Amino acid sequence: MSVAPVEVERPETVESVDVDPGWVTIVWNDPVNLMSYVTHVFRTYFGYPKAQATKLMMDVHTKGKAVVSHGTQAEMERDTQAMHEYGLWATFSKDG
Amino acid sequence: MRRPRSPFERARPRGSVRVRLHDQDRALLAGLLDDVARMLEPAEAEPADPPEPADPPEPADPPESADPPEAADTMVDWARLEASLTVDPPQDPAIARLLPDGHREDAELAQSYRRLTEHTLRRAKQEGLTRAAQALLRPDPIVLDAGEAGALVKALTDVRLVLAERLGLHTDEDAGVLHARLTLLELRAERDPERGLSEAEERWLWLATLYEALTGWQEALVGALA
Repeated sequence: MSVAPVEVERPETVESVDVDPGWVTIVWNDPVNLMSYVTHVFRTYFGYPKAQATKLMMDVHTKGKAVVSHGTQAEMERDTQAMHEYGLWATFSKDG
Repeated sequence: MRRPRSPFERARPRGSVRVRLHDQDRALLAGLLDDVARMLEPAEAEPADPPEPADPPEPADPPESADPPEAADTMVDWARLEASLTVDPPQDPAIARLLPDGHREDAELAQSYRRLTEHTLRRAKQEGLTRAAQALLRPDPIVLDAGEAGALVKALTDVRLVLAERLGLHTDEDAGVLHARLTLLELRAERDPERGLSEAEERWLWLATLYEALTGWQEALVGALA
């Protein structure tokens, strides 16, 4: 018994510039936002556990900035916008 | 000495917060939130048509070619289209801090981020500020639900960012100096009432006092939410 080759229908490759996951959201230190509030934002918005949120907050405070999320450009723009809604000073950029 | 009661206390259900600010402080805070909501109103849009010229234009020469006259009307005004798609960062540094650039090095990315998000961000902040202000003006006893408490903790940030910009707080050191200068000015006003304070000093003292009060209130609110 032989099996005839089956024509497999391939979906058209979708051209998209927004599948590169190598983007990051950075939160920068500022003199206004309270340490407790920054931790609160990282826990509330990203759902990070307390230890991780606190470590990221300390990085912002002592090193001047911290990478708070990774993803595609569109995802990082969304996270940046959310940080701006919270009043944190954030930017998105290509990783590396 | 009796420890002052916290202006915000945890309430039930989880995420709710009881407001224990004095009436005048609540009214003051609600007023500040409304002020910042108003500051976030976008600037008046440019008039759609250019102003009429003062003098009637010279009568045009009869057209030399046979081009249909409609051609000019259908042409796209690229300069105006481009202008309408370009959103400049706000002029007021305090508003610019509330609506910051999304990208540091790439002006084009920063511009496209602003074009896509600034309107939504302004609206979201205005709605949050207004929602928090309205909740604070309810009759006592006030219990904020989780949504209102979340709006208030963001709104307090927005007001503090505006005050900080007016006070010139740009570094962690500036923030440290603020408290020392505030204490010194208060002491001087108390010890040397004859000399008094200049108008600029009075204004600075008022802003700095507000800023410190709001900082304490926000710390208490975050504590009640944690």
